[in-house]
Amino acid sequence: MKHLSRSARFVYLEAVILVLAIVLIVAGAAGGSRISEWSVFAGVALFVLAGVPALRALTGSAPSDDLLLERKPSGRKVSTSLVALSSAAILAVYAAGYERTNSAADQFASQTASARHRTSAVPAVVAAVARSTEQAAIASNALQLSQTPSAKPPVNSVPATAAPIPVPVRETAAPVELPASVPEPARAEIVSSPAVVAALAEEQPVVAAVQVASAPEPPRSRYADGTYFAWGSCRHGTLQVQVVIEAGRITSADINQCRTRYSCSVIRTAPPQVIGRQTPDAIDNVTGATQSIDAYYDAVADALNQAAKSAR
Amino acid sequence: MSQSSCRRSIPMMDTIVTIEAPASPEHPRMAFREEVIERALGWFAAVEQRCTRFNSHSELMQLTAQTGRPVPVSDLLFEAVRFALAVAEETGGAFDPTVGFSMQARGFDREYSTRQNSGVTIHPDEPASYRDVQLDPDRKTITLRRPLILDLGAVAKGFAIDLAARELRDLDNFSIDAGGDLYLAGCNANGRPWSIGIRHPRLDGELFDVLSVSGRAVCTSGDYERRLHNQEEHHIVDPRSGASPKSVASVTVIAPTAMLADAVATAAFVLGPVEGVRLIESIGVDGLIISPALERYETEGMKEYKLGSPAIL
Repeated sequence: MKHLSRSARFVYLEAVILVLAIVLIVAGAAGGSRISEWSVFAGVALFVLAGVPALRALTGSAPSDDLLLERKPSGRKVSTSLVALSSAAILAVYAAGYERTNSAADQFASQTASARHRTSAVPAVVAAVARSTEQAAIASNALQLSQTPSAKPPVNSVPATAAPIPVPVRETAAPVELPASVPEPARAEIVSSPAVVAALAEEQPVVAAVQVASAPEPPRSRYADGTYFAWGSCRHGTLQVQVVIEAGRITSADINQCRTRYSCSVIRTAPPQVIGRQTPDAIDNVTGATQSIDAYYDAVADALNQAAKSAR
Repeated sequence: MSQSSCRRSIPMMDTIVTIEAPASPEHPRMAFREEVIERALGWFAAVEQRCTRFNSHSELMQLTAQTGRPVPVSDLLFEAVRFALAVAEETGGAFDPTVGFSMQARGFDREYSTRQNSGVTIHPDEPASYRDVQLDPDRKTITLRRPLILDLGAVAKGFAIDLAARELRDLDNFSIDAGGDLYLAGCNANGRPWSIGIRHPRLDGELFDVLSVSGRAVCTSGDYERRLHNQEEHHIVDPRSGASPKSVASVTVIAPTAMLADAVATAAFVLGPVEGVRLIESIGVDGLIISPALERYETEGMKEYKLGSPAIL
């Protein structure tokens, strides 16, 4: 604020000097004496002093501090403007953006909720479809990131942004009466995931909708069958696990990618424990590998969370 | 086992983003913290969708495809560009978001982790600069006066962190880690301010220093990240010369927001140890610069963040 009013004051001052300069020149030119010559000189000098920056201001873009002041003000005056600008930007985008960026997810969620009131058979599928496509999108990111050439065929590259936005999967949930409430806008926003999701659905039982739809009564197991990927991180780095649920049981919980500083072989006793006890809660600590065990635990818990959500 | 601390990691924005929320007396239940973390992670997706250079469908790349006319953009992209230009102005071009073209030409044309190409090539006649970008705040439009590519990399990631932090503000204690750029709030699971290690720029797996931070963003730029195949050039480019600066090994900036810390760290890297610290001071934030000879240059205020010997972690 303060430097704005300073620039305004400068402009005012320049205008005054310009007027004075013109008056001096005119008066000097009109008269004939020695004083008149000085008057003209003084007028021209003032004109140059005030006129040039004013002209630059008129012809160029809006005057910045550079034009009106010889040097940038030092110290915190200009510095706080960047701090303030970043805070203002955050507030503006947060206030404006939250509704819009999540609108697709919110719409789908609210329509899923209203669908729940209509029939009892449909909601489980709708929710399963929503969650499973979310996992498919997340799984596609995982495949994309994976360096190892696995048995899975190459996947079209998918922008990572597809991940948190649920996409209805018409291709695989064929027999189910998907509610008409599946929103058009949600699909329109997605760039290229349907092809990927379809490709994945063919070779991995990620889409729980298929199993749930074929059973006459949806099984009330805690986890939905499928393959789930999740990341865990610790001070030493990150690791990714792959958890497979078959017939409601955890059949594998292996480390898919190891990006920790230390080899993940130190925690190779963990996956069998998960399978044996069917829960990550009781993994024994490994001396000297507490951090990695924590990361592994978080990742498995995350994956099981996805599986549990699919089962609802 | 860290069962009371809620932690989620997802791959996003060319790195892994981890959000951790330890339990607090006000928020003992994990379910609530999980929900908030989920919403916070959504911001990373939103920012990436708008601001990534590696997807020709992103709003940023669609903007790049239109030269010479005002393009209406979202609030998010507008504010990110506006901020980046303000930093460019303040640093005299040492930070310049229009380095995109020279980065692309030098081989940084694909996302590091996914190897995904942007698929867009620009052939400007002469080097563009931040002065070639015009903003209209009333109409929310951006005009590119000539062909160029905007690289919002540093600012975009920081922006996402700050938006996520705002989403998490209901929780008193949390940490956001986006590939080494951090925001810390409150205390860690042990009830102490978060302990942040600064990676040693030359000794892999070692720490150069440890800081005690709360209520601040911490962003670090190092010449050890993202090296190209010839190992001479890394991912930070001096917009004024087109080369990778050699006088700095690592810059860490501590600031109230991550977008500011990110941008300032990038600019300070280019300016060198002495000028860099001077810039950080003038902006009113704190930082530490490590030279290739492992000399330490830091602002006065850094002593507020000292933890003591690195052995105490």
